[in-house]
This record gives sequence, structure tokens and C-alpha cells, in this order.
Amino acid sequence: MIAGEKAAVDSKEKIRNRYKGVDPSELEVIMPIASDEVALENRKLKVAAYVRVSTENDEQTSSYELQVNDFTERIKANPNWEFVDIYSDEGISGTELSHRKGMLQMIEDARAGKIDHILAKSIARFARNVVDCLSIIDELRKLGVGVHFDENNLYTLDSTGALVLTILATVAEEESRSKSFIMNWSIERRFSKGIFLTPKLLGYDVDEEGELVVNPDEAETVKVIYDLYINGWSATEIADLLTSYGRPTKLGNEVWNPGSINGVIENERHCGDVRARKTYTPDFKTHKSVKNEGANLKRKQYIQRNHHEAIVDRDVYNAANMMRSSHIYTSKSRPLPVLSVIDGGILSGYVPIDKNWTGFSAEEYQAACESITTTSDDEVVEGKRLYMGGYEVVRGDFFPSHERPAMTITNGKLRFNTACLKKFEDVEYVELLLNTVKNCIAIRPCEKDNPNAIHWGHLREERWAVSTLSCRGLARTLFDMMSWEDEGQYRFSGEFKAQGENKLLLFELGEPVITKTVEQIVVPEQPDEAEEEERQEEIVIREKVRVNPPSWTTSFGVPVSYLEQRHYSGDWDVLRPAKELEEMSPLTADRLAALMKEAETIMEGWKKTA
Amino acid sequence: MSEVQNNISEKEERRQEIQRVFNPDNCQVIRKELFASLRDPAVTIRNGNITFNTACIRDFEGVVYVRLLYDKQLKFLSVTECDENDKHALRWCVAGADKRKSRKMRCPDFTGPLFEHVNAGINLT
Repeated sequence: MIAGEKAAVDSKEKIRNRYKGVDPSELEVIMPIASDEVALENRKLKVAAYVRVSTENDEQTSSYELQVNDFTERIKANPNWEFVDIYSDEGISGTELSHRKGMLQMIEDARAGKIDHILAKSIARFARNVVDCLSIIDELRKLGVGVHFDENNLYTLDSTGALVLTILATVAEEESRSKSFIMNWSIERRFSKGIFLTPKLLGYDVDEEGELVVNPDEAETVKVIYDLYINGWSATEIADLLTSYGRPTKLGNEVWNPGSINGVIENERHCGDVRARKTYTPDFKTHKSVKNEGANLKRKQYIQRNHHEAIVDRDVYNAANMMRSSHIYTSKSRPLPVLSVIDGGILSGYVPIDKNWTGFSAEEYQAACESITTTSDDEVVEGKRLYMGGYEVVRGDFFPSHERPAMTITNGKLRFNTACLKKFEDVEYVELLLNTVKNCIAIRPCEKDNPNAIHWGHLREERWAVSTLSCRGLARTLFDMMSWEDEGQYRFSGEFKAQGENKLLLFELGEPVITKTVEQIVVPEQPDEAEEEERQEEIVIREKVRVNPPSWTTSFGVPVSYLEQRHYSGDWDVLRPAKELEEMSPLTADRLAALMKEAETIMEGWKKTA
Repeated sequence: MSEVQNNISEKEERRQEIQRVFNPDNCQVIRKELFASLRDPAVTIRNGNITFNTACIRDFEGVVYVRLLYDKQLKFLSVTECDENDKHALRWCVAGADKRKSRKMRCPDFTGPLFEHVNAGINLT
């Protein structure tokens, strides 16, 4: 044997000797704590079970009862098991954990050490959401709590449990996704053929053929809700009234809330139409339905007019929902506004306007103004005339003064300055009128109970304090009509006119002074050798700027030929009531009164029955 | 020759001397504005405000509110009385119980373009 071969043999012998080990009797062994698998066999376990059925129909109920009984018997029959509880969720979907009170309670008890072992029928019963299923089981595993699924004979604390569980949970989720797809497909097919779903609805019953038929008793409640709402009752007031009469809701409750009143008002089925897919469920796992409307219209909607017998007329339904869309307006407990116009006097052609009402468009106000023809022949010249050809009257707006009446409108807010209030001396409530032909707003005094009354300020220690007023409806009309920018603040000088008791303020809308916020980007000077990280970033400076009307830069004022005093020659009649434009109003004042009468008659009947 | 005759003769000589020397074509009438008096109506226009002096206000007896008129071609500024509620009414004085005082009226949007228009070219800030 040569030297190299001998060295190799020695090395192998050493390795063999090292791995022969020592005599076992020389070793002291410390045994590990018994594993769960061992404990499962040997110690008394606190055992619970989880049961879930997704719907509450009879078939599912029997399945639920079977599961409960089976688990209870099995746990109690095992001498090594101590019965903890059966945790259950009945009629709850498995895809959304947050709704499952039973499951949440079970997890809570496991955390508190009350449970060692859980029995469940299948993974699909446990959870249909892979993430939720695995995260629950993982948390339970960390707590030393195992789950045993009967269907697959799978135990989560087994070494193979995690892998199999992941696969099975994925299958369970996929099954849920598939069911959701089939349901959506089925619904789409039904709607496209005009076969609509008929959920329970106040005022209607469903006949054997699935058609909606009017339930006369419930229809009375529906009518009263609409009649009162368009006569200025708030949803809260109507809810309180129905509760006081003990009128039942569709579910048989006798307590009403504003939400249920609004639900009745916005449901188009009460006027005989059907609109299908007003909501949809974007995610089958969360089960959260979202509104399918406006910018969020993500699914096809189907509408069928006159699908069934109406309880309220379509114009009443439309009027009520027009009011509903004007939230601030409805909070004032005022009836449905009626479009009207002043047909004589100095304010001829002006339309009284509720500053919060958003139901009328700029075009409708325009049509109302144009329905009255006014001429400029109503003005006369008084006193001496002095020829001043070539001169311009320097505009008063060049000379800012707190004494000059002014009105400021931003997108949603309206404010008059103190000078306006002082001009009227002791007037707290005024009415606002719009003339789209003259592009002018007029303010005249009114009574507190006038539906359009604006409480524009009040006297405090003999000084006028002005109020900032919401004016969503007025602002929307003006910004639309005058093509103003949403962000601007528009200020107008007013002209006060008075003749004896006749007093009014006029604001011409043509030449506003605009205040708006502009952003200016300032780039700081950078030293040439500045390192990249030392370079200063751009600074955005926001500042308010005033923008004067363009005419201010081209003229000093209004050209004048003669210096003269012009006056309105006719009867001023500033407080002249406006004439209702029946053909342009959603409902006339008479119709509103008739509907109120209808509600009163129905409620009389309720009193007698009671 | 009597003393009276001597005086007349001296005056006549001076008159003839003046007539010989004086040439009205070379003369200018000194403008009154150079001898400003509080009694003369005057308006002061600064860069941002305008003030009428008390003489103006006194001449418009009892008038508190006026309108300004401007002729761009003639560059004339005129004042006329008006009603308090006139859209272009300006309160040009402070009306006390017994007398009215001059009042400075702030109007940067007027004086700016006005200076430009009359081409004053003077920075009065």
C-alpha cells in the first residue's frame, strides 16, 4: 500500500468511529413537552364546534339542526372531551367574516383559552374566503387550537394540514365565485326580458303570479307620506306621525324612522314604474352592495314604465323626489315651491326665488321672466336737463365704501353687507327676486312666514348683525346662467330705490368684482454647485387676487348725454304678489292643497279606526 | 412852471417810457393756481385717493353726495350733486351738525387709470 492510499483509509476509519456514538447509558435525556397530537389522545380537551348555514329557508334550517345535534352528541359522548359550546351563524354568508358573530365569539374564546379543539363539518362551512379561512386557522394554530373538518378528515395541526387546507379553501372560494357569477348571469337574463324581482314593498302585495297588486290599507300610508312630504313635512315629522297612529311598516313594526320615510319616497314602484338594478354587489366576498347610479353606474339598469298599478301620480312622485334632492330646502319645512312671476309694478318680470331650492333650472327661471313683457317706457325725466355730452359718470365702485350696499355670492353662500340692512332700516326678512332678462337681483321686504323669506340679519344692541346664508339653489342657477367659475367669490354693488313706503335694492349681475385664490409656483434660486439633495424644492404660494370687470380698464364709467333725473313713472307696487305660472310648476298651489286635504281625510279615518 | 405841472410831466414821461418798453406779446398772465388760496375751489388727486377742498364743498351748499364726471377728450373733471342712493353717489364731505368738512376718498382703481390718461408721468407715491 502506498503512503497516499493508507492516509485515505485512516481518515475514513476515523469518521466511522465518530459516528458509532457513545453508550446510550451514558446519556441523560430530557423529554419534550407532549405535543398536541399526543395531548389529543391523552388529556381531557375542551372541545367546541362551529356550525353555519347561509340561508334561513327550511331546508337549511334542518341541516343546521342536524349539524348542531351531531356535534353536541359526539363531543359529549367522548370521555376525553369536555363540551364547551356550539358556535353558530345561521343565515349568514361565509364570505364575509365581520358579519359572523358566532365565528368571532369562537375566536375570542379561543384567545381566552376556553377552547382546545374545534369540530367543523367542512371548509366551505367554516369560510368561503381563502384569506379569512387561512388566517383564522393560522391564528388558532398559534393558540394551540386545532380544527377538525369531518368532510375531508383534515386536522389543521397535522403536518399535511396546511397544504391540503390551502388547496381546499381555494376550491371553496372558487365555488363561491362561480355561484356569484351564475346568480349575476341569471339576474341579467331576467331583467333583460322584463322579469323583475318583487321584494316586499309597502303598499303592495305579490299575487300568485308574482305581480304587484295594491294593498289598500298600506297604500293609505304611502299616500299620506307623499302628500305630507310635498306639503313641507320633514321625514322625521312624518315618521313621528305614523308612529303615533301605530301604522305598521311592511315588516309589521309600528315604529317609523326618517330613513324608512325616505325609502318610500324614493321608490319609483309607488308611481307604477320599475327600475331594476339600483344597487349591485361588486365583490362576492364582501357582499357589500353599492348604489348603481350617476358616475357610479357600473351595471345595466332596466326601467319599465307603468309596470303595475300606481299608488301616487307620477307628478307627485317627481315633485317629492325633486324636494328630496334639495336637502337644505326640505329642512325648512316648506311646501313644494311654485314658479311665479311679478306681472306689474316696478318689479315686473322678476321671479321670486327660494335661495335653497335646486328644483328649477336656469332655463325655467328664464322662461318665467320672459313670460312678462316689460318696456323701458315706464321711466320719466324730472327736473332740469343739462347737456354733458362727452362725459362719463365715474363709476361709484371705484370708490370703495362700507356705506354702499353690496352682495357677495360664493358657490353656496350668500352675504349682504350691513349697508343693505341699514337702507331698509327695520326689515329683518326679505325676499329675493331674479330677473334673467335684465340680469338683475332685487331684494324687497317680506313677512317672516313668506316661503321665500330670508332672515338676512338682526339687530343686536341697536346695531345690525348680518348673517351668512346658504344659497345652494340660487348659486347653482346664477353660476350656470352667468358661466361663473366655481371657486370665485362674486361681489356686486347694489342700488337702493325708495318711494315712500316702497323700498327695494337692485344688484346688477353683469359686472362683478371677483376674488379668487391663485397658486403661484416659486422656484428658489439654486447655487450653481449645489448638490442634488441640497437643492430647494419649488414653493407653492396661494394668494387671493381681486379681478375687476374688464370694462374698468377701458372706461371711467357710464357715458352720459344729459344730466337728468329719471324715475319709474308707474305705480311702484313693490310688494305686489307674484302670479303663479301653473304650466311651468310641477304642482300648482291648488293641487298641493288638495293633496293635503287627501292626507287629512285618510288620517281622520285612522283616528276613527283607532 | 408850477409844482403840479411838473408832476404831470413826470407821470407822462413814465407812461411813455413804459409804453415804449412794454411788449404784451412777450408776456404771460401768471396763473392763479400758483397763488393757491384756501378760498379757491381745488381738488387734490394723489395716487390712490382724491380730495375736494373746503371751498368746493362750501360752494355746493348743503350737498353731501356728488357724482364725478370726466371728459376724456377735454380732460375735464366735473362735479354734480346727486341723491344719496344714486348708484354712483360719492360722499365727498363729512357732514357735521354745523359744518361740513373735506373728506379724502380712496379710489386707487380711479386714480391709476386717470394718471395714465392725463399722462401726468409723475410718480406721486
